[in-house]
Amino acid sequence: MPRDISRRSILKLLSGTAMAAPFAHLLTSSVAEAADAAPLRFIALFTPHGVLPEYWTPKGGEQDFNIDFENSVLQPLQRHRSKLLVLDGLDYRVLYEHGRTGHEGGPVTFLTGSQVVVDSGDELPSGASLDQVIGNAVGGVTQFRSLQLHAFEQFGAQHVYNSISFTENGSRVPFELNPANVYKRLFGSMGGSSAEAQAILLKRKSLMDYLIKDATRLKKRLAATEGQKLDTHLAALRDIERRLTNTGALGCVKPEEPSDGLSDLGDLGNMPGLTQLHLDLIARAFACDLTRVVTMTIPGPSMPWIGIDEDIHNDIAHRTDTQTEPDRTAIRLKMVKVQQWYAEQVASLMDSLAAIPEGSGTVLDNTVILWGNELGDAAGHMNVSIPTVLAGGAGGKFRMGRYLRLRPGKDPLGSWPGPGSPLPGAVEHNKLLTSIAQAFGVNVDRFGHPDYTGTLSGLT
Amino acid sequence: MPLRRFVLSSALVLSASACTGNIGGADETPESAAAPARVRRLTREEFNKSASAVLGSSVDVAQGFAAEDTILGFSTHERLQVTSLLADQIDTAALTLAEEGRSQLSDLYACPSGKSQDDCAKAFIQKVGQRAFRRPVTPEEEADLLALFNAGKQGGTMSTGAELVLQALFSSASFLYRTELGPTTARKGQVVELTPYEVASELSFMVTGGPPDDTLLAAAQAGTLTSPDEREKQARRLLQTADARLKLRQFFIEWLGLNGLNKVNKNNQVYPDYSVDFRDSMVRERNAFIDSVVKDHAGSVQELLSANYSYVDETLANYYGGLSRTNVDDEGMGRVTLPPERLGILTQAGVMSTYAHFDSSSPIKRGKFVLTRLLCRTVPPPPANVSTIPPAVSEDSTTRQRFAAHTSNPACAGCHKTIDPMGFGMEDFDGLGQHRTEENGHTVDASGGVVAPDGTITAPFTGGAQLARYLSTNDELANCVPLQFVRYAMGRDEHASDAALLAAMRTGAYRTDQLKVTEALVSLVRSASFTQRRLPTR
Repeated sequence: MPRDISRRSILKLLSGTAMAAPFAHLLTSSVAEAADAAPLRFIALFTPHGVLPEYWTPKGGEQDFNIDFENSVLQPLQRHRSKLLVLDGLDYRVLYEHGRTGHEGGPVTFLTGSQVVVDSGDELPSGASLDQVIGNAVGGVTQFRSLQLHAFEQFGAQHVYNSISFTENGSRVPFELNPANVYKRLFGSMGGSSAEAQAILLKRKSLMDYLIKDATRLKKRLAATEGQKLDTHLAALRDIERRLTNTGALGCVKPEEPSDGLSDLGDLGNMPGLTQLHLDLIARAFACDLTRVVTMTIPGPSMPWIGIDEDIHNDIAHRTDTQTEPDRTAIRLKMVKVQQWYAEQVASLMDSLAAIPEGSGTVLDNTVILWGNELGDAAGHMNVSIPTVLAGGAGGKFRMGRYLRLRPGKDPLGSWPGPGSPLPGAVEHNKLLTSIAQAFGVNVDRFGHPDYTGTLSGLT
Repeated sequence: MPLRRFVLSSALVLSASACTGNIGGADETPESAAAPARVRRLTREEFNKSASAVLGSSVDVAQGFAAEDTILGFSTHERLQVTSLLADQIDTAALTLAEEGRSQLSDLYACPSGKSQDDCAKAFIQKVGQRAFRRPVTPEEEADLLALFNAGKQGGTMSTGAELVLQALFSSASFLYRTELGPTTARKGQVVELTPYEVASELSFMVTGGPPDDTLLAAAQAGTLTSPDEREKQARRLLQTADARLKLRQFFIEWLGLNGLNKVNKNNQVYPDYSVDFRDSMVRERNAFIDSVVKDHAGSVQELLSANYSYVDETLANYYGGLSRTNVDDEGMGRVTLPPERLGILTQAGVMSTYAHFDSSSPIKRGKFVLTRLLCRTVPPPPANVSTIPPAVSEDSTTRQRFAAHTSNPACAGCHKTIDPMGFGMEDFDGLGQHRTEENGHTVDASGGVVAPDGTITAPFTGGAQLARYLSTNDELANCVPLQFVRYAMGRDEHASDAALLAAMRTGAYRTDQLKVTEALVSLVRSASFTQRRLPTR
């Protein structure tokens, strides 16, 4: 079948014998290792419903912080403690200073730093998300500028929990739910013979030339805003074109195809398995340097596999401020269990990345994981003190193994007169987005809403 | 914002090349004169139908593509794009389709001796290109596609050339976007009439969700679509097709926000009747009832809201109180006369379940649903310094009692004094759409009211059925539906230039004849909003 034609054999053709790489070596380490400096990679993970600060917040100080206490949400990450930078006290100021709180704004602003725009009748940002910006800046040397994954679709595709990634014009970047499809997209074209490859390559090139020409012709007739649609399209076509000759995946081992045992994507019982498959594919994609940017959302309708049969949103998160015992403790400890499960997923992703050698270290050393949420304290349902964790070695760009209290003190909304008034001492998450963007060489002094400027101090 | 990279747009190129007449635009029209020129990406369903039209047989390759999101509640909106993921999916699908076309369309590229292969290739390109682009192929495109054909033929045969051309067509921008740009000779800043082929596409996709058929293309070629009467005739012809009925079903489902029904989930401890099968029963009722309104009543919204009957399977017939069914069809659906507490679509289990929580009803969701979707009112989000946590489910009070407390907060009352009376009035249905007179041992109070924008209660009512009856003859609703239909069909919000169209819809046959959506559609295809666009100034 022509579509199964080997990308690898095409590449061999292109590059002749020089590409006879020592595969045995590459089997076990990142392909990108050969480069002068290991690339920096970005993963944004989003999990919902806020946290309970008493169980989420580390104890102790910046260096001697402790996450290994009873019912600590972050306890599963203890083994990666030296590669954590726990950030307490970041706010989605752009939301509450523009008349918004609650769940809906969080996924919109998490990576965009934008306020919520509702002109469309929908809740969307006004600009691109950090993953897209970084992907456009650094992803051009890889096969995929970025990947958007989603562990489980809880509601329809338009639901806020399904989108943390947005294009330049504030439209949702669609995600892939099915690990089997992710696998096919990443690795499907590996294998096949070089004779077929030669015939196909030339045709593929002619095809891409035509498609780019046709799209460009149409774009020329459009005004700037309409033209943006074609810009997105053209960028996608150039991605395909680049893959024809890109050597990224060369010598990379095609991983085993995921089993189809989890093909029912609507079965909640499959969610842990699907999550794991997605996380594995992230690690495999990084090992092969197929992409350097990934976003993933892991929602939580309920979690029967850890004994949480309730609707986590309505029956747990919304009830964490229950005052009467023993209900209060029971509900809050269930919330801890849910959040610990998320932490376990982050830890397991870190395990996989740490298992891939790169240079004198591992792929994890050269990865920034941003783990975020839409709410702070679940009981208050406010977008203040959003639980935020940076994880991975970050290629030395950030100083890890620390816990920063960005705004020590009490509830910042305590004396706040209401929407429209600034909040003294609040630290906007836009600063973090700017810092991460800069770490990837994106030259910006602010990210998202233009009123919030500068980087987050203390990260380096 | 600083991140917005400067797109040195093609506008510069255009302005250089289009300097023949209009420099600076002294005779530019105001932006309010017509909605902007644009392109619209095909939805997955539209992709399938468009590919099927090229191949001449029905294919379904697009269901696995990235799903559309919704704007204003509709998936047919103008912001759809070809992102990286979708481009890859289309790339794969295009090859599958091209292989299929290579074997199915062999008559079209077969080349009898005595004819040059290039001529045969050109004929093929014109034929399939017109079907794919929904307009004749331009000479420039023909030359490009011929080069591609010959690249495909290299080391192969006519069939491999045809295959590569087909692969290109199925993944090309000219196939994936419908244009609404007018003629290429038009000047910047001007209002243009769309080309006949653009009008044909717009009409066809709006009515049937697919590309124009031969009759419509012939009308485009003959230039008759400039006539509103001809457009109406074509629309009425196409409305008789099965595709048009499905397309109207889609409008009703998206307008009423019922597209998520097949994902509704309920707490079985609260609602032991709930199961995946039960959910399917609700979906089947939704579809069968809407289909009957479309087929037998020309999409009458009055019928939709006030029918005293429905079409249900055995599960729902029992759930609704042991109703007896007549004319049960092969699919197990039969017609029932509804009990007095139910009326039309509003009180269907699927609607009441959609606008509810996992484990309780939701007066807030229901109130907001009627206000925003049925009456086109705007309900602002809660103020930022107010907690929006719904009160906890309690075993010794009614939902209404739990929710009533929060309206005592003056920060909330402004909006909730409108939302709550609407929602409370549907409290005679629980979170799975079962009728109830008691909740947790208390009598349910389902008295409610429609509150006018000025804050006065214009219509007190008790229970969902009374509300449905009121809405079925309500002016605000009658005026809202045309706006929702414009959003759905045009894929955008109301534009200043739509005033005449909306007035025509709101006073025309739609209004006088039982709020038949099909008549609103006819007003739309007759209008200037349908055929005119304003070109960008730069």
